[in-house]
Amino acid sequence: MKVIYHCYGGTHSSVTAASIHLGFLPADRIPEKETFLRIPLYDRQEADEHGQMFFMGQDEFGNEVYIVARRNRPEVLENLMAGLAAMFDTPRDGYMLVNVMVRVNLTMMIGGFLSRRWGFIRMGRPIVTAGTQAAYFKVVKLVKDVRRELEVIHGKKSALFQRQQISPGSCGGGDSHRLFTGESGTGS
Amino acid sequence: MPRAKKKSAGRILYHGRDGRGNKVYALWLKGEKGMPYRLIDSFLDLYRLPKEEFYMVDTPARDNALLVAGQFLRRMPLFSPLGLYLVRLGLKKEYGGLSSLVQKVIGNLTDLP
Repeated sequence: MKVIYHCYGGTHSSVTAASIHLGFLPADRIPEKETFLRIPLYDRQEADEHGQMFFMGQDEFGNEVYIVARRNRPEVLENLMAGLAAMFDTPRDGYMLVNVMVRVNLTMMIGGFLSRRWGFIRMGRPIVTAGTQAAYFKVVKLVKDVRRELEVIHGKKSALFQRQQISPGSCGGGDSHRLFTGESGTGS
Repeated sequence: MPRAKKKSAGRILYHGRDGRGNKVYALWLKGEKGMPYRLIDSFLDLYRLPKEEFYMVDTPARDNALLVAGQFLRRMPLFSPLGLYLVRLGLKKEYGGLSSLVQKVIGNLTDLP
């Protein structure tokens, strides 16, 4: 499966989401500003590269993760991908488009425009990074939703999910085995 | 004649096969075309598809006054037939240019190995 995170400029929110997906950024805490700037494509892409898909890496399930800038025309990306998939007989469910713009806040937009559109990098970069930090857990939630959906698609369940299904009872004292035979628990 | 809406930008419509068996599609795009071109290029790279299989032609025809007026009137139920008539007139005006472009494209396709 090819997972394609897309946003307006392909430099902040989509790069952040792809990095969280691949484990380059933590999912449990907000990273330092310097950590964002160390990501190869963060606040780097120029307008003449919009539309170009960039490979970010492969996750543990073998899904390829990409980012792409589509400006304010998500319908063009969606329609073109669907049309080309049909034209070349590639599987329609072979890719997943994830719109990260829904998690972008005003600070990110202002900082992003200052840095990328108008070239005021010194002024825009700290603003957009602060905005990314503010929106971070929203992006994390989106990525978790995507990963959950991918797990369903692949029919795989993470170790954590499986652990939650195991009865918390002590060794020999649990009654989870009865659930399989249809017997009711001793206490109920 | 389908009406183009903003949401349909980038939609690829299949029109059939030509005399040589090539599949012919139409694609409507508005504004700057660099980004959609790069998207298509990226898609071909993504699936390692041969780029020779794909021949994209940008039609130079622009919407003339008749086409613009016709498309506007087509949105109003009362004037829709008049709008369609104007669209036909507008297309007729552009027909010569489009026809010679198609002949050139067919010639280029014939020259391809």
